[in-house]
Amino acid sequence: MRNLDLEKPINCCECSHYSIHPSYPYLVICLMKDQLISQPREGCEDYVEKNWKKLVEVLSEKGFLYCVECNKPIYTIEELTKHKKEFIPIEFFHDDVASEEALAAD
Amino acid sequence: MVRKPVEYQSDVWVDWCPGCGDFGILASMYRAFSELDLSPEKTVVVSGIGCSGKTPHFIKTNGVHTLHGRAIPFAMGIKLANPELTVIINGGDGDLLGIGIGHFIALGRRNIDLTIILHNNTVYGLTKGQASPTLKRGLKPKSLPKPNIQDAVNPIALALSSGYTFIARGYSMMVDHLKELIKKAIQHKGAAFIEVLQPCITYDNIHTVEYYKKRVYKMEDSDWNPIVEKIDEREDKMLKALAKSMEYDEKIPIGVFYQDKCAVSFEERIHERIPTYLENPPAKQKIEQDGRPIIDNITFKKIFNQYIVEVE
Amino acid sequence: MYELSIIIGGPQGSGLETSASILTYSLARSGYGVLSDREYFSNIKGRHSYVHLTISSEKIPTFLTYPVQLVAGLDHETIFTHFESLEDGGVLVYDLYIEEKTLDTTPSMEEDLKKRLNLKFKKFGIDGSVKSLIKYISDVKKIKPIGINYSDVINEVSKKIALPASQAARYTSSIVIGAVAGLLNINKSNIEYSLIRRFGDRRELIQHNKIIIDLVYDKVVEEHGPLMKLERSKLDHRELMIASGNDVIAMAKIVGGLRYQSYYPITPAADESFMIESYEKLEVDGKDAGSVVVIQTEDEIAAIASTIGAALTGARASTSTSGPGFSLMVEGLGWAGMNEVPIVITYYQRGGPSTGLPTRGSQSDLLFTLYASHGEFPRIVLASGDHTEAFYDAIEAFNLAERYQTPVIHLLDKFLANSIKTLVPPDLSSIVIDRGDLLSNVSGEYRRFDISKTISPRAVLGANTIMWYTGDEHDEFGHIDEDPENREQMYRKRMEKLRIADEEIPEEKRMYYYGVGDEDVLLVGWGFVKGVAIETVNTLYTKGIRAGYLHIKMFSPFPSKSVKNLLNRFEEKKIIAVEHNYLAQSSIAVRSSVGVEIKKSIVKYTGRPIYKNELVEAVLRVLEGEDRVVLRYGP
Ligand SMILES: Cc1ncc(C[n+]2csc(CCOP(=O)(O)OP(=O)(O)O)c2C)c(N)n1
Ligand SMILES: [Mg+2]
Ligand SMILES: [Zn+2]
Repeated sequence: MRNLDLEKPINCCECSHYSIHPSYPYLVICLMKDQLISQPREGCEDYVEKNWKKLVEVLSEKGFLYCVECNKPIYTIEELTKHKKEFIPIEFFHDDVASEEALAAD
Repeated sequence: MVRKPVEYQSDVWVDWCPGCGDFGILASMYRAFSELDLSPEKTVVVSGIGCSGKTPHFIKTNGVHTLHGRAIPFAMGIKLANPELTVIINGGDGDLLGIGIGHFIALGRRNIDLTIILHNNTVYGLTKGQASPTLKRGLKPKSLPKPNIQDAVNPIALALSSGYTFIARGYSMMVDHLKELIKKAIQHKGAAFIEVLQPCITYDNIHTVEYYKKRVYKMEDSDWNPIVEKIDEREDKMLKALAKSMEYDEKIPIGVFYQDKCAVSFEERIHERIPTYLENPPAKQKIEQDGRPIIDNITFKKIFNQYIVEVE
Repeated sequence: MYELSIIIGGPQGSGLETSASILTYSLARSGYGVLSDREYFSNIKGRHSYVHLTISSEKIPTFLTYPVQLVAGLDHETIFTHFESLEDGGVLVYDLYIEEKTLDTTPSMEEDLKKRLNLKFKKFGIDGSVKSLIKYISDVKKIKPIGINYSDVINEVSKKIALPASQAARYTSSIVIGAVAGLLNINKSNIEYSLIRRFGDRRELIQHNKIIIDLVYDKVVEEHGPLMKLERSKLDHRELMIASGNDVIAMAKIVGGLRYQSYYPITPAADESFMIESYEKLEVDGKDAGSVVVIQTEDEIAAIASTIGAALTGARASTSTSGPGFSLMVEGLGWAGMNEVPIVITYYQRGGPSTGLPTRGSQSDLLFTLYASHGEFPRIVLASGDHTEAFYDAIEAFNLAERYQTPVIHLLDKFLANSIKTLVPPDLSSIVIDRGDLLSNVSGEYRRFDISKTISPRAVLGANTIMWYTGDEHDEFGHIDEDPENREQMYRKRMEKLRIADEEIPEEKRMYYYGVGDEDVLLVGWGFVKGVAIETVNTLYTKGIRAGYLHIKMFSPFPSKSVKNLLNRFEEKKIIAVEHNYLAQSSIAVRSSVGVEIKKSIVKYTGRPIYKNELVEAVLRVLEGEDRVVLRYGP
């Protein structure tokens, strides 16, 4: 399991506004505040508890989720349960400049 | 006991970008394989080169990751030599409709019992987001220095005119819908083609999840019957499918466009010429007896008597 | 006569092929040995083509030579093109109707040849009509012209068989058969036999042709006698096989267990696939004896790709092509090398580069096949020298491919592909089918690229296990792996197979030496050079020049020790490479494999084969001090 530099923002991590940058998965973003999060915030006013049901819903619709901490796709509810404590974004957002840094292959 | 979807997951770490639509395609394949209970030993996933090309490594069936654009002819050789195998092709839009488009058309003409899953992300993913043959003219995803100057090919219309006998479109973020299409395609006897809309999270800032969410609708929700049950329905259903394939901007239909259940597969055509073909195809024939050819001097002369002259 | 060279010529598509075939069957039926080369333009109809035959009552000929004793033509272009090839005192059969024709009324002839001929006709002091030319060669070269009015013959026959003259005209080429057969004194019943063999139950064709042939035969014999009567054959074969190089390869592949063949049409390879397709269903006495799936693909890329696919399932698979096609196959070849797939590529060389001389022969792709495709991987390159060798090699190619799990390129050329030869039918009793380390059943976890063995046991797609393949560097399972240590091991594993092949395949199967041991001149060649080179060293021997011939058959792995030992026995200035290319490519291969430089060469790249007469002369010139002789003979 990857060790994030930040101390785990337990409650943020369980907040549904959380996302992780697709190119820099070690950067955590609050979609609501549009801010990078370096510290877990206690008692945040925007906090909405991550909706387990929502994750299950997304999983059953898309067929996959992605645990950013393990860098692994999740295809089933059983797998999802194993990553329950870890950060799993509901949605990945598109980063316009990500492509500039990407390398070519094959 | 049917195999579970997870039983089709290989041990290889999936190195696609997090959030890539390819995961949805892979998930659908796991589910479809499981529901069809495909035997891993009798299943071969063949791919070309590109992000999509890596698919076979992530699946615990036989996998053949071939050359850029050439998955179809590799798959053809596998299938024709051993028609008992279920052969599925995964390819990118550049792979199948750019460098490999000739093979794409040729497969339609043959109607070999193969399934193609096209990962349509409108870009060349693995080479850094150049325009693929499915990117519309004038569009400029972030990765392109200038707007695309070439027109796009219409994969569904192309498949129709090439002779594919099962043609569908799915969306990578609608796993169960796509899974059903994959199942139908595999069960179809003949060349089956599924175009999968696959958002590329890194290079394509136009065709995003948001973009498709707004546009995609299921044809089967309205009254739409694409299946040719009798030969005389062919023309009508094909024309309707063709018209449907033109719908691509405001609304994007997904589902089965066309299925011809009357068409004769290539394997059946070979079988007509070689009656032993299906039960004793090339891969299963015995070609030696104790290390000797099965044709001996006497049989040789019988087979090739046309070339032999008895000297007077 | 014991040995005879003849040319029959005419416009392409005018029945020449059928005539040559009937003549060959008649000669074989009478027990003679025949080798015939077909020279034709890249054209369907109308341009000049000819068949050049060597006929022998003493052996099966292995070479072609000039001058010829007989030229028989359907048209004037044949006479213009070949009159110089006639031996003094030779015979010319022609149509009286064309006597007034000139070069100006021969539009199908290429301007270059017209220009050269015009200059000659001026020198001869003739007006350039067929008539003036025939008179000239009769006077100066003592040529015996036999003029026949072809139209009269057709009219006569048309009346006899009550067939409109316009339809009877399609039998015109049989006039040539009748004339040649009469002059050679071929038994008439043997001609009839050949007609029956050729036309089967098309009774009418047999009958019509026979009437024409007999008529001309009798007429010629009556007026001239059997001018070129062949001695009774001394060959004592009870059976002869008549086959082109394409035919022989097709038969061999079928015997060798070929079960999947793909191709994209190209000269001079496509006839092979056509023939295999006509035997797709093998039956002996009504019993199933297997089948071959032959697929005409959309291009050569698909041809090699599908061949690889079929090979992965365990079927013996092959594709057949020529230079332009192989150029397209190169990426696929590398994939097969990377994935250790046993495939056979049958490669008929023709004149390049590009479309080059599509219907003419060449040996200019040796270096290409040795190095084609990026990266390094083991390959076996095998080149056959004649029809018989090609038969056994085509089978061995599959054995080698499966044994070493690597692509095999079987190099042939247009000369062999299109030359038809009488052959002793092959003996299959000593043929081995070696499938290498092929697993029929796998227990436990399977690793396709098991690194503990250089040649990993091979299970096929469809067996009771699963496996992966990829063109990327891979681990033992076939998954992508870029680790440097894995890379080094896998790379070495692949390349080592070539060393093992080199150790295991006896060098005496990879090169042959023709000589008794006291030779001091050495010709070095490969491919179709073999026949003419052997004949040349024999001829030289009778002239007091002790020459031997080194025939190289396998270029990868190269028979280095034997070739080196042999070359060391000869003085540098007496080793001569003989090839149908510009660079003397085999000497480049020899130099890179054994470090010996072959400094003398005799090369030909006109697209026509090397003839014995010119090779003998060229060797003499080299022995007199020339370093390089370029051959040009043959229209
Ligand atoms: C003959 C050849 N040309 C070019 C390439 C480089 N290349 C690798 S992947 C690729 C494009 C992939 O795009 P696509 O087929 O759309 O697949 P995606 O990565 O988008 O799934 C190219 C051009 C190659 N591997 N082989
Ligand atoms: Mg793409
Ligand atoms: Zn996790």
